[in-house]
This record gives sequence, C-alpha cells and structure tokens, in this order.
Amino acid sequence: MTDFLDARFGLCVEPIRLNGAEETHLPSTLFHLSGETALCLTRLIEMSRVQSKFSHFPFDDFAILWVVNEKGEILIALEEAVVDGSTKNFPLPKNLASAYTELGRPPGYSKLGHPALVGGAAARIAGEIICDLGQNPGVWYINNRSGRYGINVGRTPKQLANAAAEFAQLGVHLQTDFF
Amino acid sequence: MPSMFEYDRLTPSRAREIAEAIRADPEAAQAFADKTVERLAKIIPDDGVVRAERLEEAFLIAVETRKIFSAAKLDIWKFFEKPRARSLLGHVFISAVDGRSLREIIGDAQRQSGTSEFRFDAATFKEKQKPTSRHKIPAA
Repeated sequence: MTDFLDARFGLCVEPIRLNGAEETHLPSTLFHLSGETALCLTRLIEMSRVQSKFSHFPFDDFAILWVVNEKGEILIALEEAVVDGSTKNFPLPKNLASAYTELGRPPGYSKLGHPALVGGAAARIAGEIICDLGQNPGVWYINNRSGRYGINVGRTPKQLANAAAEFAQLGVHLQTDFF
Repeated sequence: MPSMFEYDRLTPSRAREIAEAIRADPEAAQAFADKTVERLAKIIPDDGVVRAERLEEAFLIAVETRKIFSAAKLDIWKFFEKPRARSLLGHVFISAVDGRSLREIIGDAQRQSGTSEFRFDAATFKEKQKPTSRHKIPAA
C-alpha cells in the first residue's frame, strides 16, 4: 500500500521548518475530502461562475490549501493564522499573507501553512486550489505550490494529475498547474 | 513597466500573459527580471537577520519566475545577473531555479550563516527531526 501511495502521490517528506502554531493549531476550516465535503467545493465553484456576483470574495481573497497525508487522504483548509498567545484562528487574506513576509518584525500572529493541515507531520504532494479570474468565467486549478511539500522534492505532473483525479471522482473538476 | 509584472500569487493566465510579453520583447523580459529582483530584495534584504519563512517566500517567487521563463522558452540566466552565490538572496534564487528543495536551501543557509555574508535566524523556528530513510527526499 505504501509503495502504491508513494507512486501515486509522491514520498512523504517532513517539513523543513514549523512555526510553533503549525504543530499545535489545526485550521478551523479543515476537512477531509469525501463525497459529502466535496459538495462544499462544487458549490463554491458554482458560486464563482455567477456573473452577477457582488464581488470576487471569497474566491480570490483567500488561499485554499490542500495536502495528501501519509495515508493518502486529502485534507483541505483555508490558509489561516492564529493570534500569538491565543487560540483564535482566522482566515488569512492573501494580501495580508504577502505583507506578512515583508514585515521586519513578527506581525502578532502566526500563519498556518500546509504543515498545519497534518499537525506538522510528514506529507505527500500538496498545494493550492485557486480560481483564476484572469479567464472569464474563472477557471479552477489545483497546483503544487507548497514550499515544504510540493516543489523540488521529486513531485511530478502525474502525481498532481492523480490528486486532481481524486477530486474529479467526487465531482470537483480542476485543471492542473504544475510548478 | 507593464502592471502585469506585479502579482502576488501566480495564476496560469497571468503566467501565460507575462510569458507572451517577455518572449516577444527582450526589454520586457529584462524589466520583468528587474522587477523580480526588486521584490526579492524586499523579502531578503542585504543586511539584518532573515527569518526562515522569508526564505520560503523567496523560494516560491524564484520557482514562479523559473516557470514563466520556461514557458517563454527563454534562458533565465540571460536576464538575471547571476546573483552572488554567497549572498543569501543569491543562494536562495540560484538554488530554487536549479531545482534544489527548500530543505536543502535552508540547510545550506544554516551551515553558511555566520561564515558567509549573511546571517540566518535558524533559532526562530524549531527544525523537525531529520527524515527517516523512507522519507528521504530524492536528489534534486
């Protein structure tokens, strides 16, 4: 089974670094991909295609992270952060996430990146689910944009396609974008 | 400089747009390269202690840049003065473009910190135990 999963979704790798919060806080939006939870994604995709929508919120404002764990399960969550010294999580807007890295000092909260979805453990391929609004209507993609699990660690386009196939089996159709 | 060169997270349509623009115009390719260096320099300044998460952000920008130049079928090193390998920015950029993992890049940065031209704050983060053989990362 392990060999099968290694071939299908890549070897498990330990994250090179963890901030303390990634080991101790699970994202509040975390869920396993299943027939039931896949509906959350299909409904989100349907909403993004409504031409008369009020704004691009939330399709373009928050990053949706995904990761394949050691057992081959797919976990999904919004990119969140936790206020330092508290247990309060909040979805981290993409704009704030990029500003976060440019700050010369700790911002008062810690980002919950991909390792937080698996409690800081080793994981297989990982990345983001994005809505590309540069196309009309927006096109949804799955990519391997994860510094710790997804890029330059022996991942292949085929492994990303295999992950996309897991989503497709449940009615969530995503194009692949390999880094 | 085209506003398309300014983006936070690269989308496929933006990657195609930039690749088409730089493929057709070497001056645009140089302007994009210069913009990228400017972005990276904000994340990894020449002096001061650099946090590991900044290395990760710079790593992702370098990989996105590689993807764009590859889509444009241009040699990336014709537009980036190969950064000084002993600077932290140069180390991250060259290594990421060459296919090295974040683990290797941070590991090298930790080993070189203090002996090279940069300081790297490894203490900010707890490093996980080394991978077991089953979790060994394939060579880049």
